[in-house]
Amino acid sequence: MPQPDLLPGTLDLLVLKTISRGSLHGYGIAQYLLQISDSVLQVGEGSLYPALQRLLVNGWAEAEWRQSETGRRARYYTITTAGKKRLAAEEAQFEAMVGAIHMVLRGRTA
Amino acid sequence: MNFRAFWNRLRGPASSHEQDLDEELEFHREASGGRHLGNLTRIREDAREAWTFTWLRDAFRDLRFGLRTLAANPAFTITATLALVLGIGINATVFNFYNTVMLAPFPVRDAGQTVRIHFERGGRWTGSSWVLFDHLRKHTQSLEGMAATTSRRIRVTHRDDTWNANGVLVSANFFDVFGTGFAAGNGGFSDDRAPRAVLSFDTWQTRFAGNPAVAGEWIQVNGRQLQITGVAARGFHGLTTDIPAMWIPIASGSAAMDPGQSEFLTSPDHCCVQVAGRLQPGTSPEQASVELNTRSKQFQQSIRQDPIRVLLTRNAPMANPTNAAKATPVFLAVLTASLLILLLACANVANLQIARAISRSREIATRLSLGAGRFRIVRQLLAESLILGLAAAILSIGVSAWLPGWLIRTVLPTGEPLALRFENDWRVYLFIATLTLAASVAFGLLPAWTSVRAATSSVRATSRSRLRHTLLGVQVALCAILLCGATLLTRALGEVQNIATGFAAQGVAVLNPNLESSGVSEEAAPTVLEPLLTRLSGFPGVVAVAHTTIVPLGNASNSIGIVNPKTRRQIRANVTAVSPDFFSLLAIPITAGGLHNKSSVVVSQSLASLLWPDGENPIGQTFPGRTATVAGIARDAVFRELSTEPEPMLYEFSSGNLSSQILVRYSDPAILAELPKFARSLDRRFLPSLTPLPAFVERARHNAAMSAAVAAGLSALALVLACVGIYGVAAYNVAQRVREIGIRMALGARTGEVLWLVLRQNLRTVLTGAMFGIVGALFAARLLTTFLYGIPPSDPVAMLAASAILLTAAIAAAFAPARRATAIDPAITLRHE
Repeated sequence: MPQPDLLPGTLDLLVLKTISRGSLHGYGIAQYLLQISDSVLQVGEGSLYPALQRLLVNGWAEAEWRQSETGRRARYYTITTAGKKRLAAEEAQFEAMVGAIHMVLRGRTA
Repeated sequence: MNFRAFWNRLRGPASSHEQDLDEELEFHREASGGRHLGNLTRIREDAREAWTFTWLRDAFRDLRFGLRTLAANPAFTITATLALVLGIGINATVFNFYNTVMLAPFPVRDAGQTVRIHFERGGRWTGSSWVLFDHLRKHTQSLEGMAATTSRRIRVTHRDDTWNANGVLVSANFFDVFGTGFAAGNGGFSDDRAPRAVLSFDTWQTRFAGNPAVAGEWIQVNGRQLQITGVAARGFHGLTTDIPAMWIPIASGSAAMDPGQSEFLTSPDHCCVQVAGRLQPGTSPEQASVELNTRSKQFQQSIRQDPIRVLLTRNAPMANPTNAAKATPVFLAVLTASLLILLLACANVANLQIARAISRSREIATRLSLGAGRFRIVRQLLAESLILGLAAAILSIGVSAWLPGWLIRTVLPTGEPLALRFENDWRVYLFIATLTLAASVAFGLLPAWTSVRAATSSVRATSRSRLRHTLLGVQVALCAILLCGATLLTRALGEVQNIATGFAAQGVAVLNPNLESSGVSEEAAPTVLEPLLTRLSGFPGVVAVAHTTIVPLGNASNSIGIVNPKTRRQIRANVTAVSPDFFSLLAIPITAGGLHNKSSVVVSQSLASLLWPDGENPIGQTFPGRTATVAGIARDAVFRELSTEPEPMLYEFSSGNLSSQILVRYSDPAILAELPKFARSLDRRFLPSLTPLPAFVERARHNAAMSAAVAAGLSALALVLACVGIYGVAAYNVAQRVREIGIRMALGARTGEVLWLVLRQNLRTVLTGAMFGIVGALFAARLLTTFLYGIPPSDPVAMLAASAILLTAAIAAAFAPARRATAIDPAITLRHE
């Protein structure tokens, strides 16, 4: 199931960030997100694969069939140059947004 | 959305998309230990979604659904499409005419850059004098090239063959500026005086058998030797609406064709050559206009002449503002009528749609309750309208491609073949597209919105039926306007056949010796004509012979302005030079005075009453502006066109000139065929053609009748459309009230009462609509005055006839459904729900 509390568009950002560290298949991405978030982000297939398709459509990632570590064929996703640019932009925007939300929650006047 | 994403979505997912995704998901399942993955179909759909435009996909769905619904109702689909084709097709045809003569440039090389240049003379826009043109051509910087043309009737002799044709005298640069290439040879017009000619493709084919070596041959044009240098490309007709036989450099041609007008190339008063040009790339018509006006002013000043204003327009056949001002109101009247027909068609289709919406209200209510948005359903219904519109538009393109040509060929033949092709171009397509879109929304949006509201609200029945009745009323009103117009025109049509011409055409033939192109000088014309007239009157079977420069209804006129010395008002009159026996030959009586001699004139009754309105005796008075005295008054006769308005005529006496035509009254029709040959055998300078005078009268009556018939045809279409509309509404009223009628019948209502119940409901609408329509017609009919031949626009006979036709048709259309209502079996209807 998709995380109900995830901000819209955030999943695409997380997936993009994940593959920016190196090519990964869908299952690998899901596992990585699970581990790195202390099992908080359980990304379901129903959200993950459409998100990956969006990255492909927008030209931010490329897919390629390769041999996996288990010897089985798996589809690996690699970030593109356009994807890296996009990631940088999204990260900055996200930081700004989170910062802003933080300020509101702490009730500090800017 | 970036461009790549847009493109990717447009392309859609790769063909291996589904397979890739399935394999990928299978890998995921295995890797996670064979866990069940949930709704796979949903995942697939969502993954595919990323690749498409939602709205585009929805639009496709709407269109598919619309097509299916329309295919399931062929009767509705065909009726609606035909109604729309009538509406849009007629408008497209009218616009095609307008476009061809007013907007579309002549098909010359790179036509979009060409402009027509007009010169102001006495408040009218006409052509230029040669000297002014020549000056502008040499000095202009805003035009890449500028060429002049002027048309002449010519006589061409090649070997033993001699024929009359249309020739165009052009400045030597004509083909450089406008030409689209040569089918043989080349232009070779080195200067305006070179004795050369370029043949048109048609002439080359018909007169020279397409001989590829024609360039270099010599022909004789109006007695002057010219060398053919080439043949214009197929389909090139230059800048004229008729099809020219050849183009000739202006000075060499003019020397042969305008004898005695040696000042043609030097006189600043000369009028006129038609001027057109090609704009320099990047120059706007406004810039060019400023430049030409400045140069024209300077030049006219330098030769001490009045300044002449210059105007640039589209390079279209009727671009001349003076002509356009006459033609535009006619186009507007016709366009208004055809837009009314389209409006009728739209109202019809809208009514049919609303009627269908009743039967679909359950479908729509179900879809609404299943969660479909209202907007979505309106869009869905609009998609149906757009499909109908699209089908109608495609058929209308066909109508507009075919109908104008057919009309020109069969209904309004002008005699000479036209160079105009009435093809659909981008303007016509744009017009059809705009009209279709507007019409589709007009007849689609209202019913769509009503049906959505109807399915959800409880006030629907009354408001919907009110809307339907309003639409019907508007339809009937529009139809009444058109019908009144049609009955008026039909009455006028009868009137045209009765208009007295004022002369006796039966037994008279017109022999045109075509002296203008013979090379004979103006001064020599009487001596050349004299033997012909004498010999003809002695010809067995000939009763009388006369000559005139203007033949009644012969499609030519010579209009002059006369200033009434007392009122100072200008009067226009048609002038013809005749021989004294002209009046007796055509049985035009001289009502006062006589003919006297060559230094006197005869005026028509209408001219006499315009010049001497206070009952003064015109006989013996000096004709204003001339030395001649008025010797007699002739009864009015029609000359220019069939009309009940008498035309002021001035008859001068002459012993013949270059444009004289010979009238022959005969007792034996068998001799007619011999007369041209006889004339030619007398003198080779005659190249006569012969037409019976009644043929001119017939042509005039035919043209007038045809204009009326076309208008009547349009109105008949409107009547058919209105009847379809009335039938549709009546039928649905019955369908809606089946239960009520069933109950009434069960309670003992008689057939007559039920019939009246249904009829009454529609008749009230029809009567109200008709009333508004007739009031509208009283205003609209004024537009038609010139076509009515004396019938007043408020003619009660026509109005009554129109109302009678409309009401009869309305009752007939409403009667069939009413009959059906009386056949309702109460037992069945009451069990129905």
